[in-house]
Amino acid sequence: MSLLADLPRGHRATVVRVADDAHPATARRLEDLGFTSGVEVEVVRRAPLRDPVIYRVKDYELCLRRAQAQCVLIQEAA
Amino acid sequence: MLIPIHPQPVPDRPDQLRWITPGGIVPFRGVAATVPDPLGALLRDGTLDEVRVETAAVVTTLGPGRTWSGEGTRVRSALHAALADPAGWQPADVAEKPDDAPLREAAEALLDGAVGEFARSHGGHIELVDVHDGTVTVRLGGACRGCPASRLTLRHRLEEQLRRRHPDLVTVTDVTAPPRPVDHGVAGP
Amino acid sequence: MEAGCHSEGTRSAVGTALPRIALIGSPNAGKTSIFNALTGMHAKTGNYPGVTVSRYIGNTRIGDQRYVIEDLPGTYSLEPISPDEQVMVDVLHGRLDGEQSPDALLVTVDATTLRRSLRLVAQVLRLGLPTCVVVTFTDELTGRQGHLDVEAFEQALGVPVLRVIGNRGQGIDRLRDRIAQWRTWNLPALPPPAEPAETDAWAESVLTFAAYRAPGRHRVTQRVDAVLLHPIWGSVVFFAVMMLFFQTVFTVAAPLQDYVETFFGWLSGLVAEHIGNRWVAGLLGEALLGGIGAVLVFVPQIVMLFLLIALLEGVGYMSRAAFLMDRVMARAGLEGRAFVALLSSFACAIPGIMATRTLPSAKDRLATMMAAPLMTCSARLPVYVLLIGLLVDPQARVGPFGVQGLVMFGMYLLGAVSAMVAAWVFKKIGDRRGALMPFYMEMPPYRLPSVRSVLVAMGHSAKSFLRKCTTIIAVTTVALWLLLNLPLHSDAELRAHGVDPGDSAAVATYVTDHSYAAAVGHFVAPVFEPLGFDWRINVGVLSAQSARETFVATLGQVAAADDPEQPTQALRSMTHTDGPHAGQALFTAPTVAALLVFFAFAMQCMATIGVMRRETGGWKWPMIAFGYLTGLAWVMAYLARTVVALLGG
Repeated sequence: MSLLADLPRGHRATVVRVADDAHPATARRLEDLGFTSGVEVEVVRRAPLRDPVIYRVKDYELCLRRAQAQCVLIQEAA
Repeated sequence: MLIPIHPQPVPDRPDQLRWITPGGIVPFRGVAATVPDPLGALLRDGTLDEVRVETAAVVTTLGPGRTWSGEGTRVRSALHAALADPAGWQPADVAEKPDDAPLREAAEALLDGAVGEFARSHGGHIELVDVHDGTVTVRLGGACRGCPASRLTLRHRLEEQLRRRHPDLVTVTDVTAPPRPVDHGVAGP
Repeated sequence: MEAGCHSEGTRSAVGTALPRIALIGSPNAGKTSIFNALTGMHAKTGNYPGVTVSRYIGNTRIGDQRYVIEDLPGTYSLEPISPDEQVMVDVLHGRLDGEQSPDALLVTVDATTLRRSLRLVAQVLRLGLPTCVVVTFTDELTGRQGHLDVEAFEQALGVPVLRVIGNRGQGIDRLRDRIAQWRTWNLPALPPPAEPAETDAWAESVLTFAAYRAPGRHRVTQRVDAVLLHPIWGSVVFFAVMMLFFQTVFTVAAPLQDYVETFFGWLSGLVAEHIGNRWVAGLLGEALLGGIGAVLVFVPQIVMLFLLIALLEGVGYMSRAAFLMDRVMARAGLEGRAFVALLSSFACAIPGIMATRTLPSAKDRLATMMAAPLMTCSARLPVYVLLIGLLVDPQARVGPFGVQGLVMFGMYLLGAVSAMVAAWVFKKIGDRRGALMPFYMEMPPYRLPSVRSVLVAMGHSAKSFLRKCTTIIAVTTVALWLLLNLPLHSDAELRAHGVDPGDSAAVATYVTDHSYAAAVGHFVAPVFEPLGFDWRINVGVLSAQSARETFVATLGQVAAADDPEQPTQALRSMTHTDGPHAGQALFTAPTVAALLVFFAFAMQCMATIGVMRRETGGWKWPMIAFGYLTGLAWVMAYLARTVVALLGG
């Protein structure tokens, strides 16, 4: 299990869950944005200064900063 | 991940909910005698009166004096748990034949809705003749009658949409259709 | 269906208030274009009580019945994580003072992001209000090889579902018919689950039932993004777009602004010609027409800026710009979207402040608003040109660069840097209370916005600016004019002081020198004395309170220059008339530097204050901005004077 923030560009993974130590409001919002367990997520693109990063989740693209991407636990596809 | 389910109302039966499930989760059709807990507990304590399995749905009937607004959340969670354990389900009557009622309802709904609308917009109408053992029989009327193109379109439309809702649909037949081998090329009056 | 219109009359008699329909949906779901299509240009913008969230309410008539339509702020969730999201939830629950829950809800979902959107739909359906789901962008779904059986979707959700393509107006008539029957809308047999895993299972099941096939990736977006978000090319294009942005604003708006100015000049000329009484002519021509002109002169620029913002927003480039700039803005504690607001403020703080509406966090909005007036707006430009002309020899060069240009660049830089610092400070203060908002931003596919939606967005902004700011600017302009022109002087009095009543320039100088404004200028002299300002500069600064560019003309008038628009020579020779420095040159390098810096910081724009009041819904924040900027301006001007004096000495 690893963190979404550490997933390299172009890679896909499955969301395990939002980390327990994330702020409850942040966790809830990340779930509402589509980061729920079992959902596939892909790193689409990084900003020129490495942060933020665009992810593809639930058929749409969304950008998160590292601080938020660190709250999402993932299992990288084999 | 939980098994995907969502509830739909059963026409004229406010005490029932039809939970649409993927097809073939529970290995039988008909009324269930035993279901895994906590769904079983809801049957025992009178919250639920009956749990009936369809090909791609589970129909739950409330016990007397209960309401969905009061019990729905518990029933849903219990059903989720029960569907995760299909081996724990036992039918009441092993040899029960497939129930045609849900197929009939769905066919009626489609004929009242999009498919019927489509037929009417082309100056015809479709009438439901019979539903038996997974076979739906219809009668085409009006401008549709005898027009091979519209007959094909209509039958396909109805069959395709019906099959999506009811995987156990066998076929849709049209009583006004001439015998199959000469289906094409016969001009109607 | 036929019963709908007949029963309407009897039913509406039940409640006297109009039925209220609220629009809910995620950002980019096409909610606003549906709102516009329903209400036309008749929407009213206001503010929700207590928070800086704009509220859009419009009216629509369907048959004989009028409906109130409210466009709620775009949201991904009804679980509030900030005070402004809380307000929206309060509206839905009828917890807002003196208001009940809406009678019915329209929830818009983008067909291409249905898998994510169903979670919001679940939350909305759990409210238990009559709800109709409006599916948008079905054309795009089909175009990208996706599929949705709308009728099966309706059956699965258990509430009415309609397909509407808002920006093309498709399906709006059917939507209106549906709204008229809101009392007969089905409610779901059982509301969707609240538990997250169960909600996902519910959504998945509903989508399967509706034969949903997610759209393929948007090819155009992928290709365009490969360039526009490329680490190098993306940055190049970004700066090119921003350059073009300003070029367009200045090249297109500037001549229009000149026309407006010329037109009002001509009007007040007419007034001066045809009204005998000098004083009445002045009040009418200079004060009133001048005041209205001062407002209208902003309009071309604001309209241009809003046109471009609406275009870039509609196409989808704004979120890309925000994505590219996010890291830079993070330094100031802000996020990428604040960049657009600050950027617009380079032209004018008004559209900048209005552009803060796109920021989801109220703290970010306030911090950006507090920073926006520091960006070097175009009204400062003539003042800077005049003062830099006084300060620096036009021939002076450092390497290949003229010093004048360098100083000008320095002033822009000073504005940008201090804006960032100010934003950082206000963000720090704001963040002491409450949790940090997580940052997230959807990257919508590139879409061609309809001409109509762009024009409507632009029109709304221009209209709200005009309606809310005209009064405040006109009043201040008139008040300032009165201060500068009262008390009245009779011809005899003028002659007694050796002024020929026929010489209008001499009369103007005399009137200004003996006006209440001059008295104020003398009165505040001790405050500005450390900066090297004399009472005449004070009068100029005072008159610049309504709008900065008037400083040039006022100083010109005070200096009795032959050409008040080009007062450099006259100013250069000005000396202190009284006090300890009498006889010494007034515009010394330290004083000019202090003035420059004073103008860089001071909040001398009533229009900005007006917009701030409108956007924040009260006087608190404009007063804070005015106070801190004026104080800062004094301190920084004093520092500038001291430093320049030390360097020069």
